[in-house]
Amino acid sequence: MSIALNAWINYYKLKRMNRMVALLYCMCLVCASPRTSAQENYKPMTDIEAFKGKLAAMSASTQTIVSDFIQEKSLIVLSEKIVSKGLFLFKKPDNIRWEYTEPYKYLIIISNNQLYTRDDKNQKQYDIQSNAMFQEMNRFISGCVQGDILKNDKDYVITYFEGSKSYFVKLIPRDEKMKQMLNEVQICFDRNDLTVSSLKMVESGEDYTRINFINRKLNTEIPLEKFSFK
Amino acid sequence: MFGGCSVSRLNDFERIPETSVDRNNIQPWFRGDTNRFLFRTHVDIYRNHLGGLMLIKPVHEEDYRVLFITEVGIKVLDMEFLGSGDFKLHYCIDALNRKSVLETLKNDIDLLLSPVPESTKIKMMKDRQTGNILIKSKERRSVTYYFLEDHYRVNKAMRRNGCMKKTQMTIYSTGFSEIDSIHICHSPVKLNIYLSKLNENKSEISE
Repeated sequence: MSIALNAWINYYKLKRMNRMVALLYCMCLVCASPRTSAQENYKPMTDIEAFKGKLAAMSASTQTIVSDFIQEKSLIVLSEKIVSKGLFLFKKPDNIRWEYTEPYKYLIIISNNQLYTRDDKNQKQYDIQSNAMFQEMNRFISGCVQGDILKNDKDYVITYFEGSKSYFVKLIPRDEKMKQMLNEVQICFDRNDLTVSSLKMVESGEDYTRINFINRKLNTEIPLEKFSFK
Repeated sequence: MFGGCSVSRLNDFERIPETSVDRNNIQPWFRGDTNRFLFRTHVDIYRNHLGGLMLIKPVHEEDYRVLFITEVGIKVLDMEFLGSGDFKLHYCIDALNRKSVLETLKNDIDLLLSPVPESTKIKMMKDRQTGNILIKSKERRSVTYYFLEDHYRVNKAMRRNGCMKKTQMTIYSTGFSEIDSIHICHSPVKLNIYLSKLNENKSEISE
Protein backbone atom coordinates (compact mmCIF):
# COMPACT_ATOMS: atom_id res chain seq x y z
CA MET A 1 0.00 0.00 0.00
CA SER A 2 2.74 2.41 1.02
CA ILE A 3 4.70 1.53 -2.14
CA ALA A 4 1.71 2.36 -4.31
CA LEU A 5 1.16 5.57 -2.36
CA ASN A 6 4.79 6.57 -2.74
CA ALA A 7 4.65 5.82 -6.44
CA TRP A 8 1.55 7.95 -6.81
CA ILE A 9 3.10 10.83 -4.85
CA ASN A 10 6.22 10.64 -7.00
CA TYR A 11 4.13 10.55 -10.14
CA TYR A 12 2.13 13.57 -9.04
CA LYS A 13 5.25 15.53 -8.15
CA LEU A 14 7.01 14.72 -11.39
CA LYS A 15 3.90 15.76 -13.27
CA ARG A 16 3.89 19.06 -11.39
CA MET A 17 7.57 19.48 -12.17
CA ASN A 18 6.81 18.93 -15.84
CA ARG A 19 4.43 21.87 -15.77
CA MET A 20 6.92 24.13 -14.04
CA VAL A 21 9.65 23.17 -16.49
CA ALA A 22 7.22 23.71 -19.36
CA LEU A 23 6.51 27.18 -18.01
CA LEU A 24 10.22 27.95 -17.91
CA TYR A 25 10.63 26.61 -21.44
CA CYS A 26 8.00 28.98 -22.66
CA MET A 27 9.41 31.93 -20.83
CA CYS A 28 12.73 31.25 -22.52
CA LEU A 29 11.02 31.05 -25.87
CA VAL A 30 9.05 34.18 -25.30
CA CYS A 31 12.01 36.24 -24.24
CA ALA A 32 13.85 34.97 -27.26
CA SER A 33 11.21 35.63 -29.82
CA PRO A 34 12.15 39.15 -30.86
CA ARG A 35 15.99 40.05 -30.28
CA THR A 36 20.17 39.88 -30.31
CA SER A 37 23.80 39.75 -28.62
CA ALA A 38 27.20 41.41 -28.01
CA GLN A 39 29.93 41.88 -25.43
CA GLU A 40 30.39 45.57 -24.88
CA ASN A 41 30.38 48.25 -22.19
CA TYR A 42 26.88 49.24 -21.27
CA LYS A 43 25.61 52.35 -19.56
CA PRO A 44 22.11 53.03 -18.24
CA MET A 45 19.67 53.72 -21.06
CA THR A 46 18.88 57.40 -21.42
CA ASP A 47 15.54 57.21 -23.21
CA ILE A 48 13.71 54.04 -22.21
CA GLU A 49 10.37 55.14 -23.64
CA ALA A 50 11.93 55.75 -27.06
CA PHE A 51 13.47 52.27 -26.94
CA LYS A 52 10.13 50.70 -26.00
CA GLY A 53 8.43 52.61 -28.80
CA LYS A 54 10.95 51.37 -31.38
CA LEU A 55 10.63 47.84 -30.06
CA ALA A 56 6.84 47.96 -30.32
CA ALA A 57 7.09 49.29 -33.88
CA MET A 58 9.54 46.56 -34.80
CA SER A 59 7.27 43.89 -33.33
CA ALA A 60 4.27 45.30 -35.17
CA SER A 61 6.07 45.11 -38.50
CA THR A 62 7.48 41.62 -37.90
CA GLN A 63 5.40 38.77 -39.27
CA THR A 64 8.02 36.02 -39.04
CA ILE A 65 11.47 35.38 -37.57
CA VAL A 66 13.88 32.66 -38.66
CA SER A 67 17.13 32.22 -36.78
CA ASP A 68 19.78 29.62 -36.06
CA PHE A 69 20.76 29.44 -32.45
CA ILE A 70 23.70 28.23 -30.40
CA GLN A 71 22.99 27.42 -26.80
CA GLU A 72 25.82 27.40 -24.26
CA LYS A 73 25.28 25.94 -20.84
CA SER A 74 27.85 27.09 -18.33
CA LEU A 75 28.16 25.21 -15.06
CA ILE A 76 30.55 26.19 -12.29
CA VAL A 77 31.64 22.57 -11.99
CA LEU A 78 32.73 22.46 -15.65
CA SER A 79 35.57 24.38 -17.25
CA GLU A 80 33.97 23.89 -20.67
CA LYS A 81 30.44 24.69 -21.74
CA ILE A 82 27.81 22.27 -23.00
CA VAL A 83 26.90 23.47 -26.47
CA SER A 84 23.78 22.65 -28.45
CA LYS A 85 22.48 24.05 -31.72
CA GLY A 86 19.26 24.36 -33.61
CA LEU A 87 16.69 26.44 -35.45
CA PHE A 88 14.16 28.95 -34.11
CA LEU A 89 11.00 29.96 -36.00
CA PHE A 90 8.29 32.48 -35.12
CA LYS A 91 5.18 33.32 -37.09
CA LYS A 92 2.42 35.69 -36.07
CA PRO A 93 0.14 35.59 -34.23
CA ASP A 94 1.38 32.98 -31.77
CA ASN A 95 3.35 30.24 -33.53
CA ILE A 96 6.76 29.28 -32.18
CA ARG A 97 9.01 26.40 -33.19
CA TRP A 98 12.18 25.71 -31.23
CA GLU A 99 14.16 22.84 -32.68
CA TYR A 100 17.39 21.41 -31.25
CA THR A 101 19.41 19.48 -33.82
CA GLU A 102 22.86 18.95 -32.23
CA PRO A 103 24.07 17.03 -30.28
CA TYR A 104 20.52 15.81 -29.55
CA LYS A 105 17.15 16.24 -31.21
CA TYR A 106 14.41 18.01 -29.32
CA LEU A 107 11.41 19.97 -30.55
CA ILE A 108 9.09 22.46 -28.86
CA ILE A 109 6.10 23.94 -30.69
CA ILE A 110 3.63 26.48 -29.35
CA SER A 111 0.60 27.09 -31.52
CA ASN A 112 -3.17 27.56 -31.15
CA ASN A 113 -3.12 27.43 -27.38
CA GLN A 114 -1.23 24.13 -27.45
CA LEU A 115 2.26 23.36 -26.24
CA TYR A 116 3.90 20.37 -27.87
CA THR A 117 7.26 18.75 -27.11
CA ARG A 118 8.95 15.84 -28.84
CA ASP A 119 12.24 14.05 -28.31
CA ASP A 120 13.66 10.85 -29.75
CA LYS A 121 11.49 8.77 -27.44
CA ASN A 122 8.36 10.64 -26.45
CA GLN A 123 5.99 13.39 -27.41
CA LYS A 124 3.66 15.42 -25.23
CA GLN A 125 0.93 17.93 -25.79
CA TYR A 126 -0.55 20.36 -23.30
CA ASP A 127 -3.69 22.41 -23.63
CA ILE A 128 -2.58 25.82 -22.49
CA GLN A 129 -6.15 26.85 -21.57
CA SER A 130 -6.73 23.84 -19.32
CA ASN A 131 -4.45 25.17 -16.67
CA ALA A 132 -4.22 28.52 -14.91
CA MET A 133 -0.44 28.46 -15.05
CA PHE A 134 -0.47 27.84 -18.80
CA GLN A 135 -3.02 30.62 -19.28
CA GLU A 136 -0.77 33.02 -17.44
CA MET A 137 2.12 31.84 -19.53
CA ASN A 138 0.14 32.35 -22.71
CA ARG A 139 -0.77 35.90 -21.70
CA PHE A 140 2.91 36.48 -21.11
CA ILE A 141 3.79 35.06 -24.53
CA SER A 142 1.18 37.14 -26.33
CA GLY A 143 2.38 40.26 -24.55
CA CYS A 144 5.90 39.58 -25.67
CA VAL A 145 5.02 38.89 -29.27
CA GLN A 146 3.00 42.09 -29.35
CA GLY A 147 6.11 43.93 -28.17
CA ASP A 148 5.01 44.92 -24.69
CA ILE A 149 6.90 42.34 -22.64
CA LEU A 150 8.93 45.10 -21.10
CA LYS A 151 5.80 46.69 -19.67
CA ASN A 152 5.53 43.74 -17.30
CA ASP A 153 7.19 45.32 -14.30
CA LYS A 154 4.64 43.63 -12.04
CA ASP A 155 6.47 40.27 -12.32
CA TYR A 156 9.98 41.54 -13.03
CA VAL A 157 12.29 44.31 -11.95
CA ILE A 158 13.46 45.55 -15.34
CA THR A 159 16.65 47.52 -15.88
CA TYR A 160 17.69 49.02 -19.22
CA PHE A 161 21.19 49.59 -20.58
CA GLU A 162 22.66 50.58 -23.90
CA GLY A 163 25.96 50.21 -25.73
CA SER A 164 27.25 51.30 -29.11
CA LYS A 165 26.03 48.14 -30.85
CA SER A 166 23.21 46.84 -28.73
CA TYR A 167 20.62 47.41 -26.07
CA PHE A 168 20.72 45.29 -22.95
CA VAL A 169 17.75 44.57 -20.69
CA LYS A 170 17.91 42.76 -17.38
CA LEU A 171 14.81 41.15 -15.88
CA ILE A 172 14.85 39.98 -12.26
CA PRO A 173 11.82 37.91 -11.19
CA ARG A 174 9.92 39.28 -8.21
CA ASP A 175 8.47 35.90 -7.28
CA GLU A 176 10.69 34.12 -4.76
CA LYS A 177 9.86 30.64 -6.07
CA MET A 178 10.80 31.68 -9.58
CA LYS A 179 13.98 33.27 -8.22
CA GLN A 180 15.10 29.92 -6.83
CA MET A 181 15.33 28.63 -10.38
CA LEU A 182 16.14 31.79 -12.28
CA ASN A 183 18.05 34.67 -10.74
CA GLU A 184 17.75 36.89 -13.76
CA VAL A 185 17.21 37.01 -17.51
CA GLN A 186 19.40 39.17 -19.72
CA ILE A 187 18.34 40.06 -23.24
CA CYS A 188 20.52 41.78 -25.84
CA PHE A 189 18.84 43.59 -28.74
CA ASP A 190 20.72 44.49 -31.89
CA ARG A 191 20.77 48.28 -32.04
CA ASN A 192 20.17 48.32 -35.80
CA ASP A 193 17.05 46.20 -36.15
CA LEU A 194 16.09 45.48 -32.51
CA THR A 195 16.15 41.74 -33.04
CA VAL A 196 17.33 39.63 -30.10
CA SER A 197 20.93 38.60 -30.55
CA SER A 198 21.28 36.80 -27.23
CA LEU A 199 19.37 35.64 -24.25
CA LYS A 200 21.09 34.73 -21.00
CA MET A 201 19.34 32.99 -18.12
CA VAL A 202 21.30 33.13 -14.89
CA GLU A 203 20.44 30.50 -12.33
CA SER A 204 21.18 30.20 -8.66
CA GLY A 205 24.85 29.47 -8.03
CA GLU A 206 25.92 31.50 -11.07
CA ASP A 207 25.30 28.71 -13.56
CA TYR A 208 23.80 30.13 -16.71
CA THR A 209 22.44 29.35 -20.17
CA ARG A 210 23.20 31.71 -23.03
CA ILE A 211 21.42 31.43 -26.35
CA ASN A 212 23.00 33.29 -29.23
CA PHE A 213 20.78 33.93 -32.24
CA ILE A 214 22.64 34.00 -35.52
CA ASN A 215 21.61 34.38 -39.19
CA ARG A 216 18.45 36.18 -38.13
CA LYS A 217 15.94 36.79 -40.90
CA LEU A 218 12.73 38.77 -40.59
CA ASN A 219 9.53 38.39 -42.59
CA THR A 220 10.53 35.43 -44.69
CA GLU A 221 7.80 32.98 -45.69
CA ILE A 222 7.29 30.14 -43.18
CA PRO A 223 4.62 27.53 -43.99
CA LEU A 224 2.10 26.97 -41.20
CA GLU A 225 2.86 23.24 -41.33
CA LYS A 226 6.07 23.99 -39.46
CA PHE A 227 3.91 24.62 -36.39
CA SER A 228 1.68 21.57 -36.66
CA PHE A 229 2.07 18.62 -34.32
CA LYS A 230 2.95 15.72 -36.57
CA MET B 1 18.20 -2.32 -27.14
CA PHE B 2 16.79 -1.97 -23.65
CA GLY B 3 15.48 -5.12 -22.07
CA GLY B 4 12.90 -5.31 -19.35
CA CYS B 5 13.60 -5.62 -15.65
CA SER B 6 14.01 -9.36 -15.89
CA VAL B 7 15.48 -11.53 -13.16
CA SER B 8 18.91 -12.87 -14.02
CA ARG B 9 19.41 -16.60 -13.52
CA LEU B 10 21.87 -17.48 -10.80
CA ASN B 11 21.62 -21.27 -11.25
CA ASP B 12 24.37 -21.27 -13.83
CA PHE B 13 26.94 -19.86 -11.40
CA GLU B 14 29.32 -21.79 -9.17
CA ARG B 15 31.03 -20.52 -6.04
CA ILE B 16 34.71 -19.54 -6.31
CA PRO B 17 37.18 -18.16 -3.72
CA GLU B 18 36.63 -14.49 -2.78
CA THR B 19 40.20 -13.75 -3.77
CA SER B 20 39.66 -14.82 -7.39
CA VAL B 21 39.18 -11.23 -8.50
CA ASP B 22 40.89 -8.31 -6.82
CA ARG B 23 38.21 -5.66 -6.29
CA ASN B 24 40.85 -2.96 -6.67
CA ASN B 25 41.34 -4.05 -10.27
CA ILE B 26 37.71 -3.55 -11.26
CA GLN B 27 37.72 -0.54 -13.57
CA PRO B 28 35.19 2.22 -12.96
CA TRP B 29 33.40 3.35 -16.14
CA PHE B 30 33.62 7.04 -15.41
CA ARG B 31 37.37 7.51 -15.18
CA GLY B 32 40.06 7.85 -17.78
CA ASP B 33 40.85 10.46 -20.38
CA THR B 34 37.32 11.80 -20.70
CA ASN B 35 36.77 14.64 -18.28
CA ARG B 36 32.99 14.55 -18.53
CA PHE B 37 30.21 12.23 -19.64
CA LEU B 38 27.03 13.68 -21.11
CA PHE B 39 23.95 11.51 -21.49
CA ARG B 40 20.59 12.03 -23.13
CA THR B 41 18.26 11.01 -20.33
CA HIS B 42 14.72 9.67 -20.29
CA VAL B 43 12.84 8.90 -17.11
CA ASP B 44 9.58 6.96 -17.34
CA ILE B 45 7.50 6.65 -14.21
CA TYR B 46 4.21 4.91 -14.84
CA ARG B 47 2.73 6.87 -17.75
CA ASN B 48 4.72 10.00 -17.06
CA HIS B 49 7.88 10.92 -18.91
CA LEU B 50 10.71 13.30 -18.17
CA GLY B 51 13.54 14.10 -20.53
CA GLY B 52 16.79 15.97 -20.22
CA LEU B 53 20.55 15.63 -20.02
CA MET B 54 22.65 14.04 -17.33
CA LEU B 55 26.22 15.13 -16.81
CA ILE B 56 28.68 13.00 -14.87
CA LYS B 57 31.89 14.80 -14.00
CA PRO B 58 34.71 12.98 -12.22
CA VAL B 59 36.36 15.29 -9.70
CA HIS B 60 39.39 14.56 -7.54
CA GLU B 61 40.35 10.98 -6.88
CA GLU B 62 37.06 9.14 -6.41
CA ASP B 63 34.47 11.90 -6.27
CA TYR B 64 31.81 12.67 -8.87
CA ARG B 65 29.54 15.59 -9.59
CA VAL B 66 26.24 14.61 -11.25
CA LEU B 67 23.87 17.17 -12.74
CA PHE B 68 20.53 16.83 -14.45
CA ILE B 69 19.52 19.66 -16.76
CA THR B 70 16.63 20.08 -19.17
CA GLU B 71 17.19 20.22 -22.93
CA VAL B 72 16.81 23.98 -22.83
CA GLY B 73 19.50 24.26 -20.18
CA ILE B 74 17.60 24.61 -16.93
CA LYS B 75 19.37 22.95 -14.02
CA VAL B 76 17.12 20.55 -12.15
CA LEU B 77 19.47 18.61 -9.91
CA ASP B 78 23.09 18.94 -8.77
CA MET B 79 24.57 16.19 -6.60
CA GLU B 80 28.04 15.22 -5.44
CA PHE B 81 29.10 11.66 -4.65
CA LEU B 82 32.23 11.40 -2.55
CA GLY B 83 34.60 8.46 -2.55
CA SER B 84 34.14 8.22 1.22
CA GLY B 85 30.53 7.20 0.58
CA ASP B 86 29.16 10.61 1.56
CA PHE B 87 26.60 12.40 -0.56
CA LYS B 88 26.01 16.11 -0.95
CA LEU B 89 22.99 17.73 -2.56
CA HIS B 90 24.03 21.06 -4.07
CA TYR B 91 20.76 21.96 -5.75
CA CYS B 92 17.34 20.54 -6.46
CA ILE B 93 14.27 22.30 -7.81
CA ASP B 94 11.41 22.43 -5.34
CA ALA B 95 9.12 20.10 -7.24
CA LEU B 96 11.65 17.29 -7.11
CA ASN B 97 12.95 17.94 -3.63
CA ARG B 98 11.24 15.03 -1.89
CA LYS B 99 13.00 12.48 0.25
CA SER B 100 11.67 9.44 -1.62
CA VAL B 101 12.58 10.83 -5.05
CA LEU B 102 16.05 11.97 -4.01
CA GLU B 103 16.76 8.72 -2.18
CA THR B 104 15.87 6.70 -5.28
CA LEU B 105 18.03 8.82 -7.57
CA LYS B 106 20.90 8.82 -5.09
CA ASN B 107 20.85 5.02 -4.81
CA ASP B 108 20.64 4.55 -8.58
CA ILE B 109 23.53 6.85 -9.35
CA ASP B 110 25.56 5.46 -6.49
CA LEU B 111 25.09 1.99 -7.95
CA LEU B 112 26.36 3.32 -11.26
CA LEU B 113 29.39 5.19 -9.95
CA SER B 114 30.76 2.99 -7.20
CA PRO B 115 29.57 -0.49 -7.99
CA VAL B 116 31.61 -2.80 -5.75
CA PRO B 117 32.08 -1.40 -2.25
CA GLU B 118 35.26 -2.55 -0.56
CA SER B 119 33.86 -2.42 2.93
CA THR B 120 31.22 -5.13 2.55
CA LYS B 121 31.41 -8.89 2.80
CA ILE B 122 31.19 -10.60 -0.53
CA LYS B 123 30.70 -13.95 -2.19
CA MET B 124 32.18 -14.61 -5.58
CA MET B 125 30.73 -16.85 -8.29
CA LYS B 126 31.59 -17.82 -11.82
CA ASP B 127 29.34 -18.53 -14.78
CA ARG B 128 29.94 -22.14 -15.75
CA GLN B 129 29.47 -21.41 -19.43
CA THR B 130 30.97 -17.99 -20.04
CA GLY B 131 33.43 -17.75 -17.17
CA ASN B 132 32.05 -14.31 -16.26
CA ILE B 133 32.26 -13.36 -12.60
CA LEU B 134 29.39 -12.51 -10.26
CA ILE B 135 30.00 -10.76 -6.95
CA LYS B 136 27.32 -10.86 -4.27
CA SER B 137 27.63 -8.09 -1.73
CA LYS B 138 25.48 -8.00 1.39
CA GLU B 139 24.84 -4.82 3.30
CA ARG B 140 22.58 -4.03 6.23
CA ARG B 141 19.34 -3.75 4.30
CA SER B 142 20.21 -4.82 0.82
CA VAL B 143 21.89 -7.43 -1.31
CA THR B 144 23.63 -6.40 -4.53
CA TYR B 145 24.78 -8.64 -7.35
CA TYR B 146 27.50 -7.31 -9.65
CA PHE B 147 28.01 -9.03 -12.97
CA LEU B 148 31.52 -8.55 -14.32
CA GLU B 149 32.51 -8.65 -17.92
CA ASP B 150 36.02 -9.85 -18.65
CA HIS B 151 36.87 -9.75 -14.91
CA TYR B 152 37.32 -5.99 -14.73
CA ARG B 153 34.16 -4.16 -15.74
CA VAL B 154 30.72 -4.29 -14.15
CA ASN B 155 28.16 -4.48 -16.95
CA LYS B 156 25.16 -5.32 -14.84
CA ALA B 157 24.11 -4.85 -11.23
CA MET B 158 21.01 -5.89 -9.38
CA ARG B 159 20.05 -4.70 -5.92
CA ARG B 160 17.31 -6.06 -3.69
CA ASN B 161 15.97 -4.13 -0.73
CA GLY B 162 13.79 -6.43 1.34
CA CYS B 163 11.76 -8.91 -0.63
CA MET B 164 9.88 -6.44 -2.82
CA LYS B 165 12.05 -3.60 -4.04
CA LYS B 166 14.44 -4.37 -6.81
CA THR B 167 16.73 -2.22 -8.93
CA GLN B 168 18.56 -3.47 -11.97
CA MET B 169 21.19 -1.56 -13.90
CA THR B 170 22.53 -2.68 -17.26
CA ILE B 171 25.44 -1.00 -19.00
CA TYR B 172 25.81 -1.31 -22.77
CA SER B 173 29.25 -0.59 -24.09
CA THR B 174 31.05 -0.19 -27.36
CA GLY B 175 33.89 -2.66 -27.16
CA PHE B 176 34.88 -2.98 -23.51
CA SER B 177 36.06 0.51 -22.84
CA GLU B 178 33.34 3.05 -23.58
CA ILE B 179 29.79 3.30 -22.34
CA ASP B 180 27.13 3.57 -25.01
CA SER B 181 23.99 3.52 -22.88
CA ILE B 182 22.61 2.58 -19.50
CA HIS B 183 19.24 1.27 -18.41
CA ILE B 184 18.12 1.38 -14.79
CA CYS B 185 14.79 -0.17 -13.91
CA HIS B 186 12.86 -0.59 -10.70
CA SER B 187 10.19 -2.90 -9.52
CA PRO B 188 7.48 -2.98 -8.31
CA VAL B 189 7.49 0.80 -8.91
CA LYS B 190 7.41 1.25 -12.66
CA LEU B 191 10.38 3.56 -12.88
CA ASN B 192 12.76 3.29 -15.82
CA ILE B 193 15.77 5.49 -16.46
CA TYR B 194 17.48 5.40 -19.87
CA LEU B 195 20.80 7.11 -20.45
CA SER B 196 22.34 7.35 -23.94
CA LYS B 197 25.81 8.82 -24.21
CA LEU B 198 26.01 11.90 -26.40
CA ASN B 199 29.03 12.12 -28.62
CA GLU B 200 29.94 15.76 -28.59
CA ASN B 201 32.26 17.09 -31.25
CA LYS B 202 35.30 18.93 -29.95
CA SER B 203 34.06 21.98 -31.81
CA GLU B 204 30.85 21.84 -29.83
CA ILE B 205 32.67 22.14 -26.53
CA SER B 206 33.57 25.76 -26.06
CA GLU B 207 35.87 27.16 -23.38
